[in-house]
Amino acid sequence: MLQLLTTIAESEVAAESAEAAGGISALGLNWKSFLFQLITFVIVLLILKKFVFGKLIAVLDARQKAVEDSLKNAAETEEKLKGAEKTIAKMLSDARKEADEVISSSQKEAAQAVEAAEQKAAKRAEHIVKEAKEQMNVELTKARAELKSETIKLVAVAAERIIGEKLDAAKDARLIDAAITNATKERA
Amino acid sequence: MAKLSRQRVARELARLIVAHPERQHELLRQTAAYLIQNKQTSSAHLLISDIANELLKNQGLLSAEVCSAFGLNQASRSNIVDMLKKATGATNIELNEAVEPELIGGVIVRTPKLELDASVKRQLVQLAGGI
Repeated sequence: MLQLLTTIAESEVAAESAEAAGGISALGLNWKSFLFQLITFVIVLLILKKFVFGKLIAVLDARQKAVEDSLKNAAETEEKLKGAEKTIAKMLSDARKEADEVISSSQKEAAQAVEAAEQKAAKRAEHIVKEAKEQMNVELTKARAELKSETIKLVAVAAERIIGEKLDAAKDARLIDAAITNATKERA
Repeated sequence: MAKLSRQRVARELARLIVAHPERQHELLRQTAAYLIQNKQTSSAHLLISDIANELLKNQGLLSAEVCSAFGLNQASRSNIVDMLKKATGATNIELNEAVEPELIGGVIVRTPKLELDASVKRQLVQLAGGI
């Protein structure tokens, strides 16, 4: 085994020495192959350039443009969205303000209407009470007058009955004589 | 028929009544017919008053209506006649008496020119009116 290893090491040393002695050839380059490959590469490159790269670049450009446009649209859309949100927020705020004002105004009007109605009702009640008192006074005066009249009638009837019961022909004759005497004196 | 003045008619009638007392009813009927014909029925009471005045003025005759509750005794009658004679100057008084119990008491004397109401009824009514 040791002998094998020694053989291998000696061959490697020999190869290194050969490479160091060859230069570029030692790199393994073949000018013909290299040139052929280079020409092939160039041809492929030209073909690709003519038929592929343009379209590829166009596609890539188009895609890039599309992406850029999309990004731009998205940005614009986002801007518009923000603007719309602002507008909506403002409209909502204005609407809330207006609603608050309407509610406040309605409440005021309602309160005023209630107050006015209360005042009107109070005046009406006062008027009704006044009218009722006046009517009551009128009715009272009328009732008093009727009562007085009835009382007088009753008194007269009672007096008639009493006098009629108490009066006789003799007393009546004295009454007549007294009346005639008075009348004579008055005329004299 | 010519229209005569009421005073003239009254004067003539008074004269005829005194001159012909038996024709009183006939005279009154004729007077009524005259008034109706001349459409003067509304002034009949005035004519009666004028006739009474004529009778009193020319003949001293007075007719009086006397109402009492119980009727008059002679003394009351005399008093009334004396009072009427003094008040009217009549010499001959004729009393037409009526009994009205509703007067209660006292007397009412009515002549064409004056009325005396000394009834108890009137006094009560006056009293009631004054309360």
